[in-house]
Amino acid sequence: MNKLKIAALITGSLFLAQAEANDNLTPKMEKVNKVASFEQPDFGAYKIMSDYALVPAAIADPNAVISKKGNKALVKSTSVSKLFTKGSLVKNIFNGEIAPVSGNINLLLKDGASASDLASEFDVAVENTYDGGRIAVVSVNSNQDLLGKLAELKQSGKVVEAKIEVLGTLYTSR
Amino acid sequence: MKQGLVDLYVGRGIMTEEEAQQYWDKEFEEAETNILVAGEDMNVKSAFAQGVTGQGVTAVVVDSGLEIRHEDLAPNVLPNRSLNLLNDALDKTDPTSKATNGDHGTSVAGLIASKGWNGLGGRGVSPDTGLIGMNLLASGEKTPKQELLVHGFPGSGITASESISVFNRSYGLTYPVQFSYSELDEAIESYPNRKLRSGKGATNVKSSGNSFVSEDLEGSFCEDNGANDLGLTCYNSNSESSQGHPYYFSIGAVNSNGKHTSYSSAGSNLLAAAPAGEYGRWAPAMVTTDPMTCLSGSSGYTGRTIAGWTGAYGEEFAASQYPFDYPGHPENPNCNYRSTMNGTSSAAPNASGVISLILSANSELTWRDVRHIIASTSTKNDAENASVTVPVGDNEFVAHDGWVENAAGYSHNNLYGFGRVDAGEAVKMAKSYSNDLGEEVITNWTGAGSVVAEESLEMPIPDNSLVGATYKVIIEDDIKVEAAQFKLDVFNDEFGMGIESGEDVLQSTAGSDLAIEVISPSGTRSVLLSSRQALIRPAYDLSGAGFQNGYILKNGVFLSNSFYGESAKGEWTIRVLDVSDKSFATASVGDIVYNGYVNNSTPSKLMGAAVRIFGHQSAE
Repeated sequence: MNKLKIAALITGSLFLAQAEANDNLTPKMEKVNKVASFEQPDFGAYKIMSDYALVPAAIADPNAVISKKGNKALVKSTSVSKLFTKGSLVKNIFNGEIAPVSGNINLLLKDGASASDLASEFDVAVENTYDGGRIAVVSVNSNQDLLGKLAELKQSGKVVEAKIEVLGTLYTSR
Repeated sequence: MKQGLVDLYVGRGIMTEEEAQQYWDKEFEEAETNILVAGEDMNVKSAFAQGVTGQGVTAVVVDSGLEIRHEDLAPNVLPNRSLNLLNDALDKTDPTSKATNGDHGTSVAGLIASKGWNGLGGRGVSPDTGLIGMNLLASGEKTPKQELLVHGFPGSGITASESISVFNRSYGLTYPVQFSYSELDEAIESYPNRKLRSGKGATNVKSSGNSFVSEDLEGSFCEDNGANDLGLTCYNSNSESSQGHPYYFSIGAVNSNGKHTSYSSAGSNLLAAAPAGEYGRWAPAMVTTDPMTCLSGSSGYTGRTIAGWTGAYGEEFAASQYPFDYPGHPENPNCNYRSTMNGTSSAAPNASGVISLILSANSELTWRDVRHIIASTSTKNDAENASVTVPVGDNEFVAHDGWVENAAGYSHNNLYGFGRVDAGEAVKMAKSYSNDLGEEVITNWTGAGSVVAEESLEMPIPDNSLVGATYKVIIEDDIKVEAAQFKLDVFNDEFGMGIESGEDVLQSTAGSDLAIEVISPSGTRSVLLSSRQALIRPAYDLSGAGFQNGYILKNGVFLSNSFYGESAKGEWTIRVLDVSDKSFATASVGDIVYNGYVNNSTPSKLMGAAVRIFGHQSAE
């Protein structure tokens, strides 16, 4: 390989390392060809991780720990219940982050609709209402399926839009 | 720094010293002669000279964290008002990041309001403005209602009458799709504008994105399809729902010579631009605050870049490339500052600083008045910015217009919005402000087809043709435009998740061939989509089931600021085109892994189109 080619490679590597404006300037490893994987979400940006659970790291069996996240450890769930509800884990398909759902659903209500009426009709609790009642946060109890409630609320005819709340980080600095 | 590169090349036996010197002299030539131009700045000193330094208002930094005890930020940090949104945080009022390799939010905060004239560090654009931090971007399990809290909803500690000038949002979601518009998000994201500051409204400032030349998810796609060489943005800054409404001010990044940075995403939604610079090596970046001590932060031994480059090329080389950030610089002995902050992440807080000065100068202004002042006073930088055309059959499509002066006399450019913010002129206008925008008027969506819950239009968009599919919308009301939204559905059944071809996975070019232009009743043209942009997967609905197979755009909303001040009354023409018939292989597949792109064999179809106008009743 001639000198200019080597120079171009190193220069390219230097430029490549600068190519992100979000300060992640660490030199990168050369990329290898990968097999395409198309992960489809179960809702929004998220895939439900029903086979996994977050437990306090201090009590987790070290042999069962898949990864650690602060003072929590990700382990294979031993629960037979696959109910998707408050505390269930989801994976963000964009950044791979695993986080629990809060059990809340954020709602934008249609004109004339009331959060308390919806709560009575669909057996959910009103956590808060804002902005003259058009924005509402409702929650399910631990025996209720969150996706099922989301579908019911969306089909009620009283909701413009509804989103399950995930306690993770969707955005990145840029 | 140049000497460090010369030494590296010589040390590794790549070139002789003479060859290396010659080589790097040439590489640096453009930067050394053209990058630093006196006067290409935000004219902040003029604002200070008018006695305005940002007192009486508070900026909220929604980011990765905020080092509230930083020596040059602490004087402006409002005690016990910041929020740590992590569930396991012991002190909920302290969003100081635990990361040792840098804290984006601390650097963002310094650009807005590091304390001035205190003998420490630098000086923010608005050096007497208060600061609140909220660590939305911090990694870890968060508190419920975080999305509401970072928009100043009850429970955030922000009162409805508090003088919040701005929520700075140097973040986003970058993925090569058009995200579907979310009305719930609009309701949440517009809350500061509609409800705070006693109804006059606080502002949201958002970074436009760093993907003008991108090579991560989509690999070499924008190199292979010619976008990079042509000078077309790889990602459209309109691609996120939050960038498609006027409640977020989208800010692009300019260099120290007043021209476009190498990375700043472009689009018709840009409101303005602000300096951010390049990488602090060939060309200047921003000097700002950094987590204190050399044991944490971007400047210091554990800084992401410093550590990475030290590992790759050695300590001496890393120190030669980042002298100010590397431990031991006499002007930065404690590594409390850095000289390498860049990105639209930096442009946004610089604009937030200017907005804080505006509202400090005149607390009676509404958020729309602030918008009006920015549109009226920003500098038409890079005045000769050229248009870009792409070949279409035997014709040409103007994919980028450069500066366009509209019928109301406002000039807009998809790279810069109304131009680089000018603090001095903005404060001057704020102090003597007498314009009455009146009540805000927002029309309903006016249009046809699937975007307004009607039968799909099914209008074919001929391949590689200027004919396109044209839909015209009549607006009856004489509204003076402050912003215009356009909602579109475009479908092509070849546009799924990819096409298997032997061992390769290919994708249709239907998404990247798409171009959209709008002509206002006054004849002003705005390019919403230039073509050759990174639309390589189906439209994505974050409130629904994710990818919308077949849809290039599904409830895809584009904001345009190009029509500011014009009358909305009359006929709006929306033309959707497919402007290429090229197929090509990719040199680098990226994370998305398409080995090539094949021209769509069937025409895409316009399924629906609609317009929504934000403005006020015309006085005439």
